[in-house]
Amino acid sequence: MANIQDEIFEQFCQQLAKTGRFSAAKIKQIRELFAGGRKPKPNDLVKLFSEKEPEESLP
Amino acid sequence: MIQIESVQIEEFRGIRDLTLTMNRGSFVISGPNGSGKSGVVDAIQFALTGEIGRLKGAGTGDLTLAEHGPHVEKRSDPEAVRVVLKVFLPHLKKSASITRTVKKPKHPEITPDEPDIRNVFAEVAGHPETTLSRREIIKFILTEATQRSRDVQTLLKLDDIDQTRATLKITENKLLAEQATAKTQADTAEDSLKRHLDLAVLKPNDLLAAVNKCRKVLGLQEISKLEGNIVRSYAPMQALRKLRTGEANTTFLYVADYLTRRSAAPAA
Repeated sequence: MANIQDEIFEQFCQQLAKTGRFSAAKIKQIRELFAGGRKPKPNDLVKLFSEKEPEESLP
Repeated sequence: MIQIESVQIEEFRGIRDLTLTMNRGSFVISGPNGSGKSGVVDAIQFALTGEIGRLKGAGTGDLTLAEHGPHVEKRSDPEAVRVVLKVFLPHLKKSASITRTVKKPKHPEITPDEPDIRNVFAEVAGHPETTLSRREIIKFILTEATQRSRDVQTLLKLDDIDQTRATLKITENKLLAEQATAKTQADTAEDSLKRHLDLAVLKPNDLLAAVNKCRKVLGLQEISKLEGNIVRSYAPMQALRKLRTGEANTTFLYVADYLTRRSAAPAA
């Protein structure tokens, strides 16, 4: 059962998806970055959001 | 909702061996300072969540459950540090017990080991705000209005959310700064291209025509569309080398003069 922080994070991811600006693959990357209670640094997030969408980077 | 029937505490915090029977009712613990009242609250919280709230958060420094959970005489024997909580679950109409040791705080022993009972304990463990210490309650009462929202977050164990929000804000600022830099570079490159090709606006067809005009001067074939790396051609490099070595004919001199004038001209 998720705690409050997990529930808020889930809503955060759902809102990101609703904006339509992030692919499912990018949302998955965001989930992985925060998985297991990890606390990513700003530079990790800058790198993630600066990268092309995963499917676009395929040849 | 759960109702506590009893709690059995062994070698936990300042308590060597204590069993309290609550019989599913509300209860009050009283006693002199240092007699272990908070230890009982810590033990109940530990049994339910595997954590001790007051060993975490601001001002707790290097305090850890492994080192500061056991009684001072049992720090080297975390397996002996045990809390057994017997509870009644009204909505399931079942009694159950949960046992935790400091050695394996995240792996409680639940009896009876049934899925619906496990789910109840898992939900409680995911909501550590269900157990509030005296310090947390007093801090919330005495806090100033401007700090109250932050303290509510602390009570609800939402400190990480605040930290993540700050991290996201820093990330946003960094990305906006990078975007501004990239835009400036793009604008500069566009201005430079317009100046060199003598174009007021970079429309694809005009750009293609201007490029082909330059390619014609350099003796290159016309191209039908603009793509990356099209200027990486051997002929222009040869032409530039001849210009530098004085082997240029009048055509090359014309090109050099053209490019020099375009470079020196003010931006369109």
